[in-house]
Amino acid sequence: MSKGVLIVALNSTTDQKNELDYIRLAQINARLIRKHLRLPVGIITDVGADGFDEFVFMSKAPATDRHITLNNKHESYAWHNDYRRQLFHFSPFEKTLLLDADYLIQSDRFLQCFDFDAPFQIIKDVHDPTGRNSFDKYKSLPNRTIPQKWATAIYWNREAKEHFEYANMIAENYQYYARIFGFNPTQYRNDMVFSVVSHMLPSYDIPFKMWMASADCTIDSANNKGIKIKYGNNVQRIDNDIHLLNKDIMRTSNLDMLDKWSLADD
Amino acid sequence: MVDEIKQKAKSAWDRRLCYLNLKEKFQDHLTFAHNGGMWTADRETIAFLTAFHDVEQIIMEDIYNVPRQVSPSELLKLCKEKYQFAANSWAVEYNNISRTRRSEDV
Repeated sequence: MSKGVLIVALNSTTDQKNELDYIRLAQINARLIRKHLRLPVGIITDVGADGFDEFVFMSKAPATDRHITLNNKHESYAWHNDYRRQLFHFSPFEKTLLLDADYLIQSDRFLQCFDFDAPFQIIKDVHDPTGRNSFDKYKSLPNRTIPQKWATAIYWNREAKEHFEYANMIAENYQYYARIFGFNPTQYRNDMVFSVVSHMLPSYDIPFKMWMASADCTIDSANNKGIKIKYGNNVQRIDNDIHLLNKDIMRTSNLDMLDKWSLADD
Repeated sequence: MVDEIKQKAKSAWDRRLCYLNLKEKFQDHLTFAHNGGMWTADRETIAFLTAFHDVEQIIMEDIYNVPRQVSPSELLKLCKEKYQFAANSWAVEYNNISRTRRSEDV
């Protein structure tokens, strides 16, 4: 049975003409994944890209405007994020782990998902390594009814067809579910859709927390001891898988640094 | 130049937080899949399995609260391996952190 990791990467340009190079970030993460998980990596994208074992072409889905802070300036970009629910049919693997391009892998923890092999597994708990508990407010969906899950990392095998059909049904009736669970009806979010899916159908929470650094955390450096993040005047070195929310990660200087880091010891 | 010096002087590193992150990482690394279930190699599980080491099969609840039939001696062996590996890494990294003095050395 084939198994592998999928990354969705679609480049975008902000209203201030700054390029968000998700593909290059995915190439960096693919090297980290091969180093730590020793699994093939596939990319879902709309243009040619090298550095991957599998390539799945998908044209860009309709986008909504997303506001971000880039280099201390507020900018917006077209956010194409409605792909995940279609990936059951597009994955080239029998057992798939789907990761965000900016969830940088530095350990082999995700191998547990393949060993356990429950049909559908998703992240439930988040750890903020800055100690500020920035994500505690997202423990449940806005109307406090069901737990919020994070589609940043999803594992599935070929028995999860029903989960994805259910996700399609929620997406097609997004306004209705947004009203029931109190989330924003205008911006499609995979986290919301898959939170409802995992509540309604038998699902398992990935048995460890996702480490996540909020948008005010910048990258200071990266070496064999991990990624050093900076927030205010504070620093922490993170030697664990980490989801970085700051889009400054895609500045050329940061990508160059991460490129070198991911190539080290190869 | 002056700004750089000021920035360095202000730069702070919270050692206590670093220890907490390290403990979190250690706990995350205690879980493992075995015999269709997911288990945590914590002290409670190890103590429980030790009490049943002379029994061939027992029913035990995994971390998802699913009762599963396991061989206690087999699971105990895996738990001990997992615990020792994770705890050794924890201790090594803890010592490294305790020797760090400046934020630029983090």
